Amino acid sequence: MNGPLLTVEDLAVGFPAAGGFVRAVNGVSLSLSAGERVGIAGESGAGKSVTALAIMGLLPVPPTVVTGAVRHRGKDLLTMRERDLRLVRGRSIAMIFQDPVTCLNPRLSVGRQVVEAIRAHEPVSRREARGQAIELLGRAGIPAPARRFDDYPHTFSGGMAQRVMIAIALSCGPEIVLADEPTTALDVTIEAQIVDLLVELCDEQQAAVMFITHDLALLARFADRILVMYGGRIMEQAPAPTIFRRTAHPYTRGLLSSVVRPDGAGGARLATIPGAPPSPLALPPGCPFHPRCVHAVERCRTEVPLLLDVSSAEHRCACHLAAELTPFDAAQPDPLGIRP
Amino acid sequence: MTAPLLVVEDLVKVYPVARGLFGRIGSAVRAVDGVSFSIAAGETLGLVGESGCGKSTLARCILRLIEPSGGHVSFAGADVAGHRGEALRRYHQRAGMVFQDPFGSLNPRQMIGDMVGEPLRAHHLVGGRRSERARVGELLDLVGLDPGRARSYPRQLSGGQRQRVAIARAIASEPELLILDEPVASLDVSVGAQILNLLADLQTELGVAYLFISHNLSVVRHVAHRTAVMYLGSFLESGPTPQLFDRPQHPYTQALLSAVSVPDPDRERERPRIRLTGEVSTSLDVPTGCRFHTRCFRAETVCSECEPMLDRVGPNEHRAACLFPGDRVALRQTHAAH
Repeated sequence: MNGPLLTVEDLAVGFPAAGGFVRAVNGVSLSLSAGERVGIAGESGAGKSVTALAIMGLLPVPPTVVTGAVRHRGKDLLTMRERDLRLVRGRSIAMIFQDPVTCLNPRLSVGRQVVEAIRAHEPVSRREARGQAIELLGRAGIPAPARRFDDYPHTFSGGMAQRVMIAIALSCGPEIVLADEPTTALDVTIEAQIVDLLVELCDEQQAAVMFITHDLALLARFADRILVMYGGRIMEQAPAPTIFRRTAHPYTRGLLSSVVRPDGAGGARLATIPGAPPSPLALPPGCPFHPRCVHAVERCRTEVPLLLDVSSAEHRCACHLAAELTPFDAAQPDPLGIRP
Repeated sequence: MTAPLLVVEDLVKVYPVARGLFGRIGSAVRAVDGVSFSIAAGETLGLVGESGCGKSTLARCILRLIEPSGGHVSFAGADVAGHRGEALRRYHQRAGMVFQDPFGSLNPRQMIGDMVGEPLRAHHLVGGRRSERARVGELLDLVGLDPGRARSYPRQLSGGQRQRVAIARAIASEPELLILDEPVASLDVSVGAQILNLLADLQTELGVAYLFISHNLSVVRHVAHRTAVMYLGSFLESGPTPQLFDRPQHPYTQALLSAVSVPDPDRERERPRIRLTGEVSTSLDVPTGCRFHTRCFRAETVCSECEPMLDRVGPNEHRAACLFPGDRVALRQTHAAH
């Protein structure tokens, strides 16, 4: 049995907000296999986080409207009862959030919070859970975990607090970890440590990880496969090297050339995408990217492009012009011919 | 060789920390601990460092938004410490600041035009309403906004547009120096790139100097002529940007650079990373000797005893505060020998 652990089929999520109806996710399909590291990249409002929250069943329905299916072990999580869903959460699927400090309860010691997470899913004694918690904290890279066990969250730095969150997420050996911008609030040196830690722990446990970020460069290190989202849709998906070296979608190209490279020559103008990402309250008709796309033709304004194979079934792109545009290579010094 | 626009000498900012029930002063946070540098007219100095290293405190001390505890700041040849009233106002006309958060730094109840016009009125740069409106239109146009936007409110603008408004407001008084505190950190990648281009254009057109503060090394490499690396209130390395990034001499700079991701999976996976050990210290308990020695992969006993000076380590004023400065390759060999 080597099928995917989790399959998302045609997921759509919308909810009412102050200015109208937010169409946050509009038909996303994806799958996660054991031990696989998938990156989801996109700017604000792309629908990345809402996709993860919908998979976890953490969106209040109603008022949120969720359609499609999230299949895990033959069951659709979207139609599951809350009681059964609780068993899936934590035990099979865990989530790590952006801001570790606000995720921890400031009035409970860090160790106790890990123990609670363990005891919520496993029938173990307090003492056993304590031992497991100390071991987990140590594996998550917390120095002297037995000594820090009784410390409160405010004595932990952002990076250390995120390690605690990772320990909690991994406490029940989940098959799937959804990490939503887990390093965005952290400094670069700490970010690198956390990314390497996630890679290590997931390899050890053979867990599938979905890593959500706005930082494509980070995914170059982390991900086997990358999905690029925009306007609640997947615009392009491919193995990581293909995304960077044979980019098909004009949005992915724009995003890659907007990334300032640490090894690039200074002073040159950045090739940017005009305009700003659309508000999910007012998505343009047709391809959501067409108002910012330099290649857009009439068809792009009216007809939503489907996510179709580019060269193989592994590389898919939602662009009417995918076949006509030459692939883009971000590693070339002058990929767009714009830099002097 | 003209005199630099801004000269900072041995700047110190200490915050007393109240301890105990009666607020007795227990210890002190040395947020900025003896920093010296200069910026020439039209130049960009990049300032990098992790959170809590004192970057923003330094910026605020330079503009005297907070009072430094020691050292000197001189702007265009005059010490700014003595500036009061009118003199301080004139200083703020010539040196301004753009903040990170374009959502928090704009008054939500003020129209864009009014906001950009405010410094024009405060510094008596326009005659009347009509010339103010014309100048505001010019400024909005200069930062890439439709002059018709003058009647909008901040909530009607996107993050990138708001940051453009903040920039228009900052350049309204035609300053010679702008301190940019993480100007693109809260923006989307594609929008941040637009703002970086705009800042480069404005520098070419207006000849304004920038102190560009960021935790993002890639961005600093892109914009800065010279770069300084700050750690726990003090500079560990400074020099011309390409030289500092290509041949960093301080172990901390080397570790920072090795942590930055390159958007290229092939290279990214083989690139070795320097792992810093230990917890980041806070400026409440700055280690003795070299302040970085507790996390340094090169530290020797002497590092905990003797504080290194920011000494020359290469041509073009490339300086590093390290007892064992050197290229990374050489470092690794010496390290292996131990």
